[in-house]
Amino acid sequence: MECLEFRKAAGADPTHLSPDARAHCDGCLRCAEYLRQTLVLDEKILAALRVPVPDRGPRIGRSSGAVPPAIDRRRWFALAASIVAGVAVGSLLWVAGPRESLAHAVVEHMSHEPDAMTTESPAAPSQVEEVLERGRIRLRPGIGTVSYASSCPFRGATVPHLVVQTDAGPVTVMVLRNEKVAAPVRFDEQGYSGAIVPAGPGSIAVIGTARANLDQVAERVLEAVEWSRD
Amino acid sequence: MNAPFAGKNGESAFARLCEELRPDLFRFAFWLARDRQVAEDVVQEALLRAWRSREGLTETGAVKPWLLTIVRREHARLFERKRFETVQVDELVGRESPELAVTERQEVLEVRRAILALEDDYREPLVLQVLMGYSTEEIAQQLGLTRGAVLTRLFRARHRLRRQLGLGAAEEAE
Repeated sequence: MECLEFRKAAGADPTHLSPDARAHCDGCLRCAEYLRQTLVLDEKILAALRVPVPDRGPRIGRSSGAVPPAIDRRRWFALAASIVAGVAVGSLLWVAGPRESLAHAVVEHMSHEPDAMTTESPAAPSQVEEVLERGRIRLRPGIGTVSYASSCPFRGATVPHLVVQTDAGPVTVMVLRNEKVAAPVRFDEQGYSGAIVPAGPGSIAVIGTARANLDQVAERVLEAVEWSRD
Repeated sequence: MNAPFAGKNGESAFARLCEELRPDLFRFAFWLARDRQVAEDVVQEALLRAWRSREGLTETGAVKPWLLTIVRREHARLFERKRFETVQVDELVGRESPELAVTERQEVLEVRRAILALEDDYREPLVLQVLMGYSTEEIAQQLGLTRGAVLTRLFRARHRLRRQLGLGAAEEAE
């Protein structure tokens, strides 16, 4: 190993050097000194990063009011009853293929958006409007009750992330303007069933736990989303 | 399925764990936002989101990275919404100084100023590595980068700090 290579390795990760790097360091006084300085610098960085933490931290627990009301399935059905049936667009061609990285990213995103699926009351219309506007889409009537709407960072873009209440429970919809897929893709991952279908300039991901209902929801979503021009 | 945070005992265990992790979460949020008030808001929101979904967690060890991801995403969402104004580093340090100056050494404040001045791309992996103890592979996963890109950013972050702090970076090469 050369000195420059060693310093790049030590400058990036000084506490996890490879055996080659260690061997070089043992035989090179200047690089040994460089490593020593870097470790001293890291101690200073750590001290600086430890900013004081405020005493009054957010408290969580039942007393915080953070606990959502118990999910009442009858209410889901009542909400679902208000859904205007969309015009069927024909059976979708589901491709039972291997896991797609896009599908994996969608499911990963969901798993880090934990409260989205536990909220059942309608989202604030202004919030939904803002998310749709930012995503440059509109929703025609018929998609159902939107209980969650958020503009989310996803693979370098900001995308609308919606949860729609259906008679089979909440279904996540992500409108992926920048993600093209050649054909519909169906996937099962981490307990979720989902589909990514070509739509507008990109695609739409639909994910739920009730597989039997997914085709119908996907059809309804495709029917309801109206894309604004880029 | 193992659900360590389900039920009444699980609630208490999760609340305790969050309390233990709160300093790390706050500091991570602070270095993302460079603003104490924003950091508090981000952590508050992230913990509330986490609380609602705690029962789905199956491993205690997965809680910290999960919470950090929620904090990171919450910060991104807030940043997207608010479009914070650009501020000068001196102003950021000034905001911190009244509270910190009495308890911290000048040297720490100088390093903190230098870290505040780093670009986000360099500051975040450095915080994850030095403060959170993440490996370079874990940082790559968290930030959606290759490990090589992470190593480059970490090297450059330290290189810039050395330069700013006058710690003899003459022999390094970017």
